[in-house]
Amino acid sequence: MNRMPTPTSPFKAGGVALLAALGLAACAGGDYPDTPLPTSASASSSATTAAPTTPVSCDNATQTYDPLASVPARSQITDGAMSDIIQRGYLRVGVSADSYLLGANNPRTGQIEGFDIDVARAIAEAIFGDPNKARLVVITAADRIPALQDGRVDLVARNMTMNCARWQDIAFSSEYYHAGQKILVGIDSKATSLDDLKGQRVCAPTGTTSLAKLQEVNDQVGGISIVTAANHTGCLVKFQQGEADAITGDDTVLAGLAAQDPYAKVPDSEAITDEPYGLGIAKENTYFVQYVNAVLDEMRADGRWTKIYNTWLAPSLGKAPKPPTPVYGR
Amino acid sequence: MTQIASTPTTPSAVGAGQPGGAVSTATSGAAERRAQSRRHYFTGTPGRMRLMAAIASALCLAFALAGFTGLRGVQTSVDRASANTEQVVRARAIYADLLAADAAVTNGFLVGGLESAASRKTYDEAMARVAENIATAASAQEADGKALAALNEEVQNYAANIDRARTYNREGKPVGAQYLRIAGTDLRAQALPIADAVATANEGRAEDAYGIGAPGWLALGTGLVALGGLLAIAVWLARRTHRYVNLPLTAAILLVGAALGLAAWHVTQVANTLNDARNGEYKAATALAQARAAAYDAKANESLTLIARGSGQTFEKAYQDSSAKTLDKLQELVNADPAQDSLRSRFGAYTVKHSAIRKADDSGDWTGAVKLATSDAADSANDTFRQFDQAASTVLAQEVKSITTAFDRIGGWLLPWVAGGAAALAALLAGRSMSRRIEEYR
Repeated sequence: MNRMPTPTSPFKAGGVALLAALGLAACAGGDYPDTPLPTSASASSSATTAAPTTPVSCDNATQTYDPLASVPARSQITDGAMSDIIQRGYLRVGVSADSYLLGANNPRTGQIEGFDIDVARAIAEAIFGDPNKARLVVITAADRIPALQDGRVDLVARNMTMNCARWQDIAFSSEYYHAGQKILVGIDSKATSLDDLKGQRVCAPTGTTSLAKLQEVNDQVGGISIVTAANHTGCLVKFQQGEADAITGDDTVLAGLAAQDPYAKVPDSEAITDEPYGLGIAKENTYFVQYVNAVLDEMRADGRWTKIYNTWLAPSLGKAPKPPTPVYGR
Repeated sequence: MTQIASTPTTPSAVGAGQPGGAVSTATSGAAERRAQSRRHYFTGTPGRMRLMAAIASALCLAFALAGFTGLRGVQTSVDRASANTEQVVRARAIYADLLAADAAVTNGFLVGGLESAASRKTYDEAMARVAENIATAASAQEADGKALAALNEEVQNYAANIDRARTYNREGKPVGAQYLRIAGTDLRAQALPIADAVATANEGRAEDAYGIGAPGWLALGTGLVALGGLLAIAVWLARRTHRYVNLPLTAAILLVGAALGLAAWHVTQVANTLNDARNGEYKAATALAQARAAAYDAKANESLTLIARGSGQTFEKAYQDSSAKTLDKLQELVNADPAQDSLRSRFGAYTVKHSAIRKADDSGDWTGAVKLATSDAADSANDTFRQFDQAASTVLAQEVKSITTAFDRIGGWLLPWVAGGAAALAALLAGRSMSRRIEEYR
């Protein structure tokens, strides 16, 4: 071996290589690239910006059928649709469960309550002598007309604006509440109308006339940053989380929102739009419309309307005004 | 000859490679002999023998290296498969527990302003498991760190919104229900996709690790080539020298053969274990983990349907989708592990209760439907769901346990050293195998 001058011993080389291999094996612990995050991490809550329904111009949106001369007793009613209701034993009413003060679920009692609900209960009481005969079916705003058309409900009491477009599909009772679009702002704000909200973020729910009006005003004055949410309560959440400085909508709805947040107020000002609320009834049930109009007339006359208003809306909107004047003759 | 003259060997140059200082005083004749031997190192019969010895040694050495790294690689693969599987199950557990928490808190909202202690406990426990699993997962896989940090942020946002929802709900304000909806929507839109991405990434890592991998096959291939080469050299030598057995070379052949056999046996065993686990327990565990998550999603949507009170068609649709997915994944579980057939019927028992709730609500009896949906009595919707969930958790734990046990049983940490050492020894022997014969030519 000594006489063989091997330039590099295979064993030395082998040793080096083995060490290198050891190093390799040691490195194989797990060098994975970073776990990729989902790319579409932002879920848009307002992806569908439905085009607001443009009100068909007409001059008799609040005009309805003449009321019955007096509210008839149950036994005197011969109309088919109303006989069905009487036969069934209860009145099915489409309502909202998240419009505070108008129609909202009370978590403590599990009951839906509010101004709209009490009006509906008054109709049930007129028919059956018992306000609890109104069975409430919660429906979405978009579901109001279809629910009437396919007979899932007999009546809709869900802050529904009477307009000519809707008269094409359904009938309305006489106006039972006159709402108007206003703004809700922080307690310290000096703004009283949309014009004062330049440079601020204003929230309105998608697919509403409120949003359309907001866009219209912004086109004139400019500088308002428009924020949208799925509904008004969603706007309140954005307001509370600092994503919106103000909310616009019907004064009744805004009153409900302000009542949930001591740092919000609805400034006293002229409404920018007129939103006459009517009870929705299937188009063909004209007798039932006349019946309901007679009941509403009684309520206006005997102070029940004022009492209901004061129960739900006075704390937020002030004392009850004179009830809306019905327009008949359709 | 000119070559010799042109490459003069200076004493210092030679001395460096030579042991002992005596050589440095070597005569010019000795230097000539060395130079000649270098020139003729690989020529003539002794030269060819040296070449063959070098080739044999190199083959053995190559096998030593490939065998050692390859078998170590196989071990790494097993460790990774085990660790990645645990991480997959962990990520799926985070996913399922988030939905479990959401199902509990949503069901609690149905009761009224004050949720029951039981549903609060379920929520708290699920969220505690989520926190623990995120922490464990972050330390288990560095590559998941960023994703888990993002997930952690989303989980905190979710918990904050749930707390706001609770507070408003206690005060009887409808905005509480809105916070609950936002929490649930964000959970599904933001948090769950991250948990899913972590699970999917680790499924990919686990799939890759559920195989022997290139180093393992390279080790066996190198071993075969080395063995073949050694045998060919042995035959060549026997023909050349008319001696049938060269002892060092034969020993090298035996060592390489033994090491190769050992490696092949081990690699086959590991391949079988990994393959069995991949087609059995691993498939079962991942399917069941997904089934649990889908089941919780269905349960949460059941409550949301009632909270929406008549406007819950989209939630009922989501229930139907999740319920169908649960049954699909449970079928995958049964395909992978036929013994787990009972989970399907357990989930089926719950879906019957759900149908009764829907029937009550659809016929206008919302209060009755809520009673059915929030009751914790025996055989209620909540009770049948709990029974399904407990059974599913037990089965999931079993499947994961049987994977890790099977992998632990593989062992063989000494094997790379034994096989690599044997081949290295063979290299040594093969390198020396010709020296005796070469001596004869001097």
